[in-house]
Formats: sequence, structure tokens, C-alpha cells
Amino acid sequence: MVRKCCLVLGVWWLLSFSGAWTAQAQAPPRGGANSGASKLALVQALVCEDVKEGIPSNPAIAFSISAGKIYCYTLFDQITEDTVVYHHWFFRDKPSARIRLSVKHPRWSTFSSIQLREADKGPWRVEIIDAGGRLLKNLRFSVTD
Amino acid sequence: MEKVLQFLSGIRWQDVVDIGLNSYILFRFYVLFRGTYVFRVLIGLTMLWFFQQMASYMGLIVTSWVVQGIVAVAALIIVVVFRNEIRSVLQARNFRTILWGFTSKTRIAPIDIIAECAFELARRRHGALIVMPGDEDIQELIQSGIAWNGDISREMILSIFYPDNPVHDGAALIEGDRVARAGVILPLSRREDLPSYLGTRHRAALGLAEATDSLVIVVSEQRGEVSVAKGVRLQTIGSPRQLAEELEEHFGIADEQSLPAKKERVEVTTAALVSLLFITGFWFSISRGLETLVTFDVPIEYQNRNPNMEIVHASVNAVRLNLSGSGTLVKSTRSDQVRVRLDLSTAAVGQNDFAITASNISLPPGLVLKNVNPQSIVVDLDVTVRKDLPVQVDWAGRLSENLILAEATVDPSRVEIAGGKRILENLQTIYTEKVPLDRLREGVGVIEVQLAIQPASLKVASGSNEKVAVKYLTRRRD
Repeated sequence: MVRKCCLVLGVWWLLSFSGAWTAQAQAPPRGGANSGASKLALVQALVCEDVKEGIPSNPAIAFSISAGKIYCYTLFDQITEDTVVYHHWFFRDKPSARIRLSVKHPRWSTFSSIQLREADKGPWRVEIIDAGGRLLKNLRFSVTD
Repeated sequence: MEKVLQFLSGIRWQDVVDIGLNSYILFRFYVLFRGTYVFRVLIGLTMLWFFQQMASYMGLIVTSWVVQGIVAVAALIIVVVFRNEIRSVLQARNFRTILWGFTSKTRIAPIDIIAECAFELARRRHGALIVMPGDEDIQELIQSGIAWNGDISREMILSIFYPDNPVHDGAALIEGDRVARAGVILPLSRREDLPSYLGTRHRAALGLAEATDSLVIVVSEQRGEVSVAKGVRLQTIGSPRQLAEELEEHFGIADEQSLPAKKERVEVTTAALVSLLFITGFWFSISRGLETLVTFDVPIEYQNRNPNMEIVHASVNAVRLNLSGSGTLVKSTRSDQVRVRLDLSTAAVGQNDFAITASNISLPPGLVLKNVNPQSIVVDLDVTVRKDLPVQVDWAGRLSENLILAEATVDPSRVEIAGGKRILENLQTIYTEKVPLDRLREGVGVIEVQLAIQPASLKVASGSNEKVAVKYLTRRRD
């Protein structure tokens, strides 16, 4: 049991340190009925310095590399049934990470993050894509000194 | 012998034409300007040029510099001072005369007319003195007289020596087929052995004949006799035929061909040979003297490119050419005379390999291509398309610690870019040049930013602007 826990922690640490993604989902602020249709509305999408207790802090479009980590926060509403969305991170138009996130009926917020390295300075963007591949939002920002 | 053959085999037909053409031009200059002051001044200038070259060769710095200055100024002066002579040569003569015609310098006096006139004057008892100069210059011995410059005719000679004519007491000077001057005063002979019946006219005829190689015809007013003074001899002439023979002998006219004509032919042939030798020497000094190697970095010119394609990338933009030629040619070669052209008419989309051969390179005559580096280049071509792309600001630097860059909008938010299809297919965003964050102030602001379009083969399509306005909002950190 201890070995399994160590293995899981090790993998998580490796992914986080190498700039890979972490994804977390949390309960929606408000509950709602499941309509049965796979539809959702993007209410809010932003890149921020942190997400604490489901609340994004210091949303911006330029982040210092010293922040260490940045987050892409999305809030969905009118979710007809449980589905997934993707946060597709690009650095200088080259894919950097593609993160699959679950969203649940009827309202859900979720976020992804990347660990910043020195080489990550430059222009970034995150595409928010639904399960059907539809582009919901394109967030543009920069990582600077 | 082998070296001579090798040398001769190195001469191209263009070189022969080059030498021949310039020799002929020089020869024609001689033919057109001989006898004029222009030609003499040109010879003087040529000698000055040689002197300058010698001075330069010997390392006489100031002498070389001064002579060079004189030659440079003299060339200007000759055009200004002798503009009338040059114009008369170029305008008065027709095209054929300028290119290949010959004008005879020596014109033979009409002997028969002169002989008959002399005896007609004798019959009328009109005294006369007619001077036929030889090769020697008589200008310093004769005096006065008036310029006449009339074609010789019977009427003209008779009228000059008509007793009521103001110039009838002087001598008529014959030059070629013209009466050059009339009323000329001749020097008198100082001989004491002359018969007492010979008057001043005969003494004047002998005075010039003794001093020069001229022949002077004297017509006695009192006795109606015709005499000829030549050297120290004064001979009475009995008939026009005898006088004509004397004149023919004086002019050196043989049975078929005259000596002056022969002399002129020799002179012209000599001039032609000198022209040929001069130009040949000049040509060899320029094109074969002191072999020199030189290296040129020449940009590649692309030709016949399909207008729908564009060059995305070329492995090199310039090639290095190693050329050899005479030092004079190499020094005078300008970079725009050496060109490398590549024909793209057969090029296709994608990477194309082209070999750089002599057929791609144009050089001024006399320079020889020794080496090309690189010997081939790769040209990447693509079809030109347009694509509408979003603009993203490339922020850089560091914002003040207590500020956050909250928002920014770009106007226009999209631009149309033209370029290679393969490049644009993979391009999703056009970035601006780096915008330093430390320049931003708190609150709202607008800055104008240049687009940074990469690669360089891409261009903003006509109608789009290369600058965008960025409106930003900064606020204090929570």
C-alpha cells in the first residue's frame, strides 16, 4: 500500500516539475438538474496566478516566470449532461499540453495549470474546446521575466 | 615556340576584332585630322601621357602627378579650343568620308593651264611671277601679299597680272590646285653675275629659287619671254610644252604615277601600321599584363520566377567568384559588371537544386572565371497564398511588482498575411515585436506596436497595416 502511494506521488511530482499539467475538478457552486443533452455554455475563462477554493486570483495576460505556475480557469453553465472539455496549451503556436477535464451537470468550474520553466518565456495561448471539438475560447497571454 | 603557340591560341576572335576596330578608329582620326592643329595637339598629349606613365613607373611622384593634371586639363582644353575644327571635320564631311573616305592632301596644280597662261601673258607683254613651292617652307622668305585662295583658271591668272590690277607687280603663290596668295614680295638675288638686262622681277625669281627648292615662272614684260628659275639656274622657255615638262619635273610627276601620290600612300600606310602597332601594344598592356586574382561576393539574381510562386528560402544569397585577369582590368571592374543569374523557369514547388555554372555568370571581357563557391544552391519555392491571422502581443520584461496587466486589446485584431502556402498552413498567429512591460503605466494606455513577421518571406498583404494599436489596462495587485 505504501509502495503504491509512493509510486502515485512520484508520478505526480515528475509531471508537475517538468511543466506538465495538473487538473482538478471541484463541485459546482450551485447544483442543477441534468437535462440529458450534451450541451454547455462557457461562462468564464481566464488565466490566473492561482485558484484557491475554486476562486481564481489575479487573472492577467502577462505572468512573471517567477510565479512558477499559472492556471487556466473555466466556468461552465447550462450543462445538460456530464461531459468533458479540453484545455489545449500552445507555446508560440506549438502544442505544449492537452488536458482533458470533466464537467458535470448543471454547472461546473474546472482548471488546468502548467509549471513554468525558464524556456517558457514568450507568447502563449490556451484553446478551450468542448467534447465535440468546438472551439469555445482562445485565451492569449505571455510569460515574461 | 610552344609558348608562342599557346599564347596565340589564347587570343579570341573578339580580341582580334577589338584590336582591329580600335586601330581603324585611331587611323581614321589621323586621316580626318592630319594637317590640322588638332592632330598636332593630340600627338603632344599622347607624348605627355607616355611621359606620365614613365614618370609613374620610375616613381617620380610629383612629376607624374603634375603631368597627369596637365593631360587631364589639356583634354578639356582641346575640346573647347578646337571645337570649330572638330565640328568642321564632323559636319562638313559626309558619313562615307568620315568612315572610310580619303581626302588627298597633295593636289597637283593644273600644269597645262599654268603653262598656257604664262605664254599668253608673254604674248600680251604682261609681266608675271608665279611661285611653285617645293617641299621646303617658304613662308619666312616671302612678304606681304593678300590671301587669294581661288581655284586656278586661265582667267584668274590673266586677271591677277593684268597691268591695272593692284597686285600685278607681286608674285602669285600656287599651292596645290589653288592660287593661295597674290601680290607676294619675293627676296631679291644678290648675285652679281647676272646679265644687266635682267630686271627686278627676274632677280626676285632667282632670289627665292636660290634660297629654296621652289620653281618660279617669270614672264618678261619688255621682251615677252617666259623663263623658269630653279635653284641657281634661270632658263628661258621656248614653248608651253617645254614649260609643262619643267613643271612636271618640278612636281615629280612620272609617266603614270606621281611621286606625291606615292609619298602620300606611304604616309597613309605608315599611319595605318603605327595605329595597329599602338593599339595592339595598348591592348596587350591592358588585357595581358600582370595576371591578377580577385574574389567577388556576388548576390544571386533570380529570373523567370513563376509569379504565383515565391522563394521561401535559399541555401545562400551570394556566391563567391574567384576571377583572374590583368591588373588593369581587375582594378577597373565594378561590382555591377559581375553578375550571377539563376533561371527559375523550370523550378517547381519545394526544394530545387541548381548548379552554378559559367552560363549563370556574366563577366566583363578579359576576366576569366577560376572558381565558384558554392557550386550549387538549393532554392525552396512555394505557392503564394493569403491568410487572415490573429495578432498577439509579445509582452516582455517585467511589470512593476504591484501591478497586474489585466487586459489588452489589439486594433486591428487580425491581419492578412501573404506568403508561401506551406509556411502559412502552419502559422496560426502573428506576433508583435516585443513590448516591454516596464513602459506601461497604471490604468489605461495605448501604444503602437510593429508586427514581427517571421519568416522574412512573409509579408503583410496590401491593405493591411504593419503596425497595430494596443490598448491595455493595468491594475493594482489584490
